[in-house]
Amino acid sequence: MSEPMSESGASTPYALTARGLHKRFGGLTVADNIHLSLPAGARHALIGPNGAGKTTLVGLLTGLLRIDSGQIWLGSTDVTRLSPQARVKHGLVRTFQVNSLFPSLTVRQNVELALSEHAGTSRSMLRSIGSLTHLAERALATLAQVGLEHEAGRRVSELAYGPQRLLEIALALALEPRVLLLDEPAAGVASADAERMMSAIERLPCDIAILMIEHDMRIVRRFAQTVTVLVAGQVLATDTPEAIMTSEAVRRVYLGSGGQARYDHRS
Amino acid sequence: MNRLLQWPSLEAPFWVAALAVVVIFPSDLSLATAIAVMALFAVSLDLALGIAGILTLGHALYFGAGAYAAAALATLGWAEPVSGVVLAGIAAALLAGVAGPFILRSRGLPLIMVTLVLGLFAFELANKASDFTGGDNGLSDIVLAPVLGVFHWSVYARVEYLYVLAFLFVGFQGAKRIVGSSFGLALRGIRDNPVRMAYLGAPVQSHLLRAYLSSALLAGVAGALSAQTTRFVGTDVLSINTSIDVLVMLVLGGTGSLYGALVGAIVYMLVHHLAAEWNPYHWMFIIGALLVFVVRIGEGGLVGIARRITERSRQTIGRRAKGRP
Amino acid sequence: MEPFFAGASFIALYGISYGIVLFMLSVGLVLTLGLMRVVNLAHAAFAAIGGYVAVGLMNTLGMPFVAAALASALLVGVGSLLIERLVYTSLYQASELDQVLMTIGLMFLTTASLNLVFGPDVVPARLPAWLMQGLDLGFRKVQTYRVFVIALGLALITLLWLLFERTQFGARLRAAVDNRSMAAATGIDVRRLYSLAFALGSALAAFGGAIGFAMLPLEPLYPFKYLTLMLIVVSLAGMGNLRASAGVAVLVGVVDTAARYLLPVAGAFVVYGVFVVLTLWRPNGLFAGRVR
Repeated sequence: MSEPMSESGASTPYALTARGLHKRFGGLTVADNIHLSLPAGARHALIGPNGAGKTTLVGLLTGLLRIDSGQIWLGSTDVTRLSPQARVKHGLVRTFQVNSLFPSLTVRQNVELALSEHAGTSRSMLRSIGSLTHLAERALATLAQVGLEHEAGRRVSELAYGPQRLLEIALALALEPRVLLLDEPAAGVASADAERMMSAIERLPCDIAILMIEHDMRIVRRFAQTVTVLVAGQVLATDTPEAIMTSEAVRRVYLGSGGQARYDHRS
Repeated sequence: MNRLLQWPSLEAPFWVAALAVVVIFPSDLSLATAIAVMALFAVSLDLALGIAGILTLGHALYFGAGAYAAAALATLGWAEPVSGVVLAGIAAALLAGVAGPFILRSRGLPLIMVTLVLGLFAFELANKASDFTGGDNGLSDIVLAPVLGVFHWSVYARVEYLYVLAFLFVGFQGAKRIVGSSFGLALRGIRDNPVRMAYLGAPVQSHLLRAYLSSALLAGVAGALSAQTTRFVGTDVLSINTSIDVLVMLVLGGTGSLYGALVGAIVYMLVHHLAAEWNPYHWMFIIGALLVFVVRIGEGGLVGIARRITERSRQTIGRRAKGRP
Repeated sequence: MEPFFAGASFIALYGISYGIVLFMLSVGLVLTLGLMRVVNLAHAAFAAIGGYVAVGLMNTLGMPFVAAALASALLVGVGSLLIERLVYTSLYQASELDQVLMTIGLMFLTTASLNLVFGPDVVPARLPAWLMQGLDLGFRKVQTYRVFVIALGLALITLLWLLFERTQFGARLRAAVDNRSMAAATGIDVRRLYSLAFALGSALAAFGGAIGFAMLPLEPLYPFKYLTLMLIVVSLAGMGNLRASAGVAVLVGVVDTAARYLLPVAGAFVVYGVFVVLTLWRPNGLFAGRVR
């Protein structure tokens, strides 16, 4: 099996490459010959109507779901057969559309959890966590990246929804991802917090390849260099945001008849 | 702030008081010994259930394994008690190493049922293997050398009590160490949200297994101490009642803080002692009411109540202080 | 050949009738677990109360056996509605640990109360004469009671099948077991459905406790004694898997009887051994994993 190379034939492989992903649930094809490649530092958005298979694709990439056929590489490593945990170790990290945090722990402890799993210190049973001073410092630094450093001591269950969404991203960041899958990071965030969220996303380290699933076209335009449109488990188009938004084919298939108004309003 | 570490100021006085029991209640040291044994057992359960979220109804398995291992060592002529306890704890941990990988595949209700059925199986096994366990009569020919070769076991149970208290102290500090480590934080993460832990790259199963082994080790030590200090092991060490008793103690004191295990064991055993003359069926009213009470008062058991009271009074004091010009 | 045949028919008859009673006791638990995800360890208490009430009706009012069992099922079913409102409603959102603690607590309270009112011993009660008689099946004579229980069980299974597969109530119930939030979204009153399913499950357990009192003797510790067998049935059937529960209950009954008959010394030990292996092997039920 050949290593996936970038189109120029240079020796630097893509951060993430998916080739010919197929997945069927019973009689329903939810992923049909999907190709996707993200170079390092990519800002890639994945859009598509409800039920297009966006969340399924995230599941396939992260290893939650097993693909029927196809291949997935992280850099030059074939991770197709690896468990979700092993893919995380290879730098593939995701956030969740519905907050998936540790409610009884503090904000800082949430990040420390991720940091210590990443550093491998979570196996040491007898060394006090207090003695790992760098852990606390790095946790605060990571929180500062998303602007949560002042909430560090609060319990997550006492945290408002917007900051919880930011913490989702901080947890992922703590794992130093090479590829980051953001599953609708702004879902349900009030407009007051949306700007905070967007600027946090824009401040993410530029060497991370990011794949963002998003409905809101304003966010997509602001964030993405490349957009992939997914319809009924197939890639309809991959292009620049401008090209996608002016594409007649995308308008027709993705938006349907009733979508016109919403599309115009959002763009 | 780490909630666990809000109580250290009370811990030193607690151990001093535990030592003072020898002087203050010299005639009740058998009871005090039994309480210390159950406290260690409750601490072991807190490690599995309160910290790691392993919802087990069959922890008597490891208590019983430790008790029988200690008794077997003594009957085989291994009379040195301290090493006997350590070996018995290791035996219990080995058993957990065999059963754990299967048990920990399930969570929630299936886990409850699997541990319950396994516990019953062990109980039946002990009843059938009467050559080894003595069946209904139990094992009572446990002969031990003096502790450290110096301290002779006594009728007043003074050596017994101090011996168990030393193990409780070491076991408790060990458990506290584990909870305070980043491994302990990972366990609490798994308790809260195992799915997300996997997506942080955590080896969830291996974390759980190591927590389970540590817990079984402590439970085995507690069982061994029970066997050595009472010079008796009956099959009831493996019974469901034993599992439920320790669960009630733990939740009464409060789960997840380790301190709750100590408080719960003391309160429960004292109440039980006062009600010893009662018809055992009437005692069930107390346990039933305690359980309903614990669920109704919500998080944290007795330790939780105490924490809430201190927090509230601290707030009131703070408010008063602010109110003054 | 002759002794083998006698043994096999004994095991079949006693095992199946025992399994039928186990089915009555546990089907409610399978249902409520699938529907509400409440770890109701106190379910066996309803069976015990059902048995005590039925025997009380027989001994004091002279009610016939079957009528007493039906009346007891009705009474316990209605009474369980009240308990559901008072206690279980608050448990639906509670943690599994709290559910376990609360329902174990209820079990203790039930046992203590049964002892207080009726004393610690097995309740003296007798089956009616027509069930005590021998029934000649051609190849051997058996107690009519066992055949009666099997017939009753088959009728009950048919009725339940009709209820679940052929009625509006059953369709809603199955929808809610499959996907609670979806069912609620399509306008099913899940709350009411819970109450009805809970009452039905309790009534069935009470009926089982009443019909089966000659197999599972009534005593204060009843809820603890038979909880394990019920949990084995539930975990092997899988939560919410009603179709499997009848078969699994009969299987458990037959294996238990066979072990006690063929290996009188090792009996219970072997049975638990078999079930330990099975539950460890398939913790989510013998038929789990196919759907997901």
